[in-house]
Amino acid sequence: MLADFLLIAMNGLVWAMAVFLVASGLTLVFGILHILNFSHGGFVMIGAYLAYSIMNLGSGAVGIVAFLGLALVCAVTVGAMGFVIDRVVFKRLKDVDDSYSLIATYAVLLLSEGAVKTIWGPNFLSVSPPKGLGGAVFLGDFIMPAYALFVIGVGIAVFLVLDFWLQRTASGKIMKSVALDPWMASLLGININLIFTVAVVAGFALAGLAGGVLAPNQSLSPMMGGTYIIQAFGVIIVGGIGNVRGAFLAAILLGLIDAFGTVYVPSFPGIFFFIAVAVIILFRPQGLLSGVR
Amino acid sequence: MVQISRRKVLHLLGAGVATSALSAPMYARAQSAPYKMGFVGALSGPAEALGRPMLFGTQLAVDEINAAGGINGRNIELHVRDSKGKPDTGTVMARELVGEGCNMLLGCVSSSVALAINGILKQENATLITAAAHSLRLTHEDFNPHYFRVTDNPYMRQRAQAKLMAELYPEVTTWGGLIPDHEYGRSTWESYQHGLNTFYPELAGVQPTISDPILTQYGGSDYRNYIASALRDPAVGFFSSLYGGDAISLYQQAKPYGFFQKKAPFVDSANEFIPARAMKQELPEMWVGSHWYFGAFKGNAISDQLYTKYSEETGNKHPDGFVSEGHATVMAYAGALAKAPEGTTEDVISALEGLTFETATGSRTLRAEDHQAIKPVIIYRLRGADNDAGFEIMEYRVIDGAETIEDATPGQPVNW
Amino acid sequence: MGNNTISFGSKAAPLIVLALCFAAFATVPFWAEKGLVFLAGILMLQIVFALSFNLIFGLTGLVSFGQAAFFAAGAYASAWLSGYAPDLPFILTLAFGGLVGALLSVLIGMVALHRASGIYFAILTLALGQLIYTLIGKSTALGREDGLIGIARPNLNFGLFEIDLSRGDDYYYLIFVASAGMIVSLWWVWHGTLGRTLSAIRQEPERIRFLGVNVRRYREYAFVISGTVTALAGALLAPWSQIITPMIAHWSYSALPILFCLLGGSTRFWGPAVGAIVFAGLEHSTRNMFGMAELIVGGGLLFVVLAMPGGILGTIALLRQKILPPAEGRPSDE
Repeated sequence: MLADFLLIAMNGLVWAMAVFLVASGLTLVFGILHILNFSHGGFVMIGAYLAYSIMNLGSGAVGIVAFLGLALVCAVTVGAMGFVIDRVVFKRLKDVDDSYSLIATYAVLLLSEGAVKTIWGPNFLSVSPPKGLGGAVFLGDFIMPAYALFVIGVGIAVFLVLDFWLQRTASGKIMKSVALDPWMASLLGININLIFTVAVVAGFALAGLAGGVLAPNQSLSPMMGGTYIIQAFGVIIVGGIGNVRGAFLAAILLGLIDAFGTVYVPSFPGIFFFIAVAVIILFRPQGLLSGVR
Repeated sequence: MVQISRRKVLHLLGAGVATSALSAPMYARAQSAPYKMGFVGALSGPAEALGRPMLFGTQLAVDEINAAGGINGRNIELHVRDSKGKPDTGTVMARELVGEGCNMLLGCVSSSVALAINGILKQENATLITAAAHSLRLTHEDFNPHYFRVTDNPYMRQRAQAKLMAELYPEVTTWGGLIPDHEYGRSTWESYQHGLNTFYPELAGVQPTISDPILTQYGGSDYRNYIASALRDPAVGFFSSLYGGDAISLYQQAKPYGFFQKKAPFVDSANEFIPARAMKQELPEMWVGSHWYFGAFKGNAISDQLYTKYSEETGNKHPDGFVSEGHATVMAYAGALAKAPEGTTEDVISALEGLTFETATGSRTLRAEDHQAIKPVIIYRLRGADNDAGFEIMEYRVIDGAETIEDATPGQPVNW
Repeated sequence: MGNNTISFGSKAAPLIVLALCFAAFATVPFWAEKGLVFLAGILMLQIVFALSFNLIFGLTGLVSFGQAAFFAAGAYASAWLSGYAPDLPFILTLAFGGLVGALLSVLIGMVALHRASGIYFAILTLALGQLIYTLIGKSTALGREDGLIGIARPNLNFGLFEIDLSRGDDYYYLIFVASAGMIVSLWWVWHGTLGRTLSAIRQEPERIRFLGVNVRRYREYAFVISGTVTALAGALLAPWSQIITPMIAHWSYSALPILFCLLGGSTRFWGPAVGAIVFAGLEHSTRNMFGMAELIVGGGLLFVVLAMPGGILGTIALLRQKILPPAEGRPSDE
């Protein structure tokens, strides 16, 4: 019974950290640029496909360290794509209405799906977890896949690093001040264009990292981008949009609600997430943590 | 490797479509106009990986027939449309094909698209032969004389799978299921459950204990909660009718829990070689349902030819059954046209009823009453292996469809 | 014509284009093949869908990301009723679809407009819309994930005579007439008191509030009108496509009218219609480039959004402004 309970809670956490990995970059970009980037899921997908290709260059399964290195390569590559997207698309969206950026980035999502299909084909692919993470950890009756624990670990690590950067470092504080009031920040001599670019590149790099880390989590297909993006939208909105801490908390909350709902009310799979999002926004329209970063 | 060969397919398909379109005027100049057939299937969207091989088989059959001089001296002209796997797009495309003079439609990956097109056939005066859509409603509640199915259906397939399990694993008497929360999921489960309740008492002499199935969400990224529910379930044998990417995600995530050691035998309703090709060495051992397995029909000229052509042109050594089913739809029409050279919808329907024709799985007969094909059900046992393909076919069974087919009750629900 | 557009040059040109479109839709069954006629019917309903959506979007700036819920509500309600009571006059099943859509929009409008604004409004409506999508997919009476199939085209019984809409293109013309009627009503709302008040609110919210106008009340009116007309368009779709699936309630379907509005230009009444027509043209002409659709549609959209931030109509107006000096105009003007 206790093992069951623990298992369900841990499953909720795996989902939470997987979605947080996706949502972190999304919320960062929104926080600074006020662009809700629809294409974010598309770049997570590109990161995952890149990881697939890099792994297949070698003999397939790699060790944990090599896998993390590989995920970083994905992060850097997708970050570089972010730089290009920033120049070509985001720079032109600054003076237009918010909703235009929604459609522009939706178009970029379509383009990323098309690109993935052209390069990797429409067939389903699958990536093995890194060596040493293929098995499970046993604790009495309780079993947890090692890779799932790894996802939880990476999710927490990414959160801590991001949080440290935004709260404790000078550059992070500059980011925050730009997010709060770009005009005032520019008066203080901050190069806000540079800050915008940094935010976009960091956001995309996080997407690439999420893709690399999550490549073994589920099957890969050109539809993968759309699957994650809606969940990530829910998480950042419940957390208080633009708020990394909020997204982290919201991911955990929604993950647990969804996990227990799915197991204990089995006739309605997949509905709890939306109920939870709707109810939370109804009672806290600005999200769990608004204003506070 | 994979990318290059896939591009070759695309190129080939593109070329095939282009030639048939360009050469249309040439046919028209010939004394008799070509027979027009319209393929409507998923060539993009989540079911693209199923629709592509289906189109390959269809195109190949058309090319072969034309190379051999056509039917009654008339060639077949194939028009191709993408349904995107969506019912509304599918109906638009079907109407467009009819508008272009294709009164013989074929293809369809998903039941929802087939059901949608089925609804307009009478009004558009066209026929449809599907090469994968499995819904029992098509030949029962929603039966209409313009529709034919060359493949098996859940009643035949899942009961054949249950029968095989009762034969091979008489000691496994507790069964559970993981199914998508869809009509397809429910009808596969209902059929499998019925099969268990029929064949376990008959072959193993025991009444099986069957748990409630675990309903899963379509198109998710995380199936661990469902896996947790399945692990809590006391059932030992497990059946799953998740498909495509969802099935792969499920298997990938279930494996580390030791799921496939605890829940064995594991039966996959219909995923052919799709999870095996994706997961390779990581594929857990399972019995998988299929439309066609080339290894089971060696010596059958159509099967051998399909296999050679497909593996040469795509580099894929394990073609899925959708290839043979796409091929079979054309063979069915060809057989009917030989008997009804005018090619009018009325004539084609009556020629198709009771028609026996040759396919990659041997000869099939379309039952006159409900237009359901009587064909063998193929089930193979797969697992990951250290070879080039990354997996091996441990054994396979070909079960005569006539043994597990339901009573023909067109217009009525299945008579369980 | 528009209160926020100053027409330079020809006033007649838009009217001519409008008349041409009207004539084109009116004559489609005479020159196009069946697939295209069907598509034209769908397109007309999508135009109504987008125009009614723009009542909220264009006039208040609020992005409702759950508009498909109303479309689906209308479609499902009328299709369900026509299956449940096949002898009921069609006008009643249609009205029932509109009524259900109206009730739903009152409910969602009250909740969403009361609680949220900006991007939160978008995501809240998205979540509520997805909830309705999931609920439809789970209800047996509505055919679950497979939807309602084989919806009959109705008979119109006028007592003295009957029109059987299942024959030929009769139902197409019903859609044509009904869409025209709804578009005229929407035009009237857009240019009437409500429309003017809302666009005033949008431009100077503080001043209007100061004048004692209940801003939320006006937005609620617009939201309910928008939801009701959308539901009516959905109710008309059901017998036309003869199958409806939960996909019409999915968020990606809600994205369509947003797309149309931005593509065509959301500040102008006819913008969404232009967007819908252009998008349908783009999709239809690329439908046989299998595997390329995402690249072409994505690339096309991106180009339009980046190169034409005011939408197609906005850009045309801008171009005319540049090319034709306001004083001169074109010779053929008056």
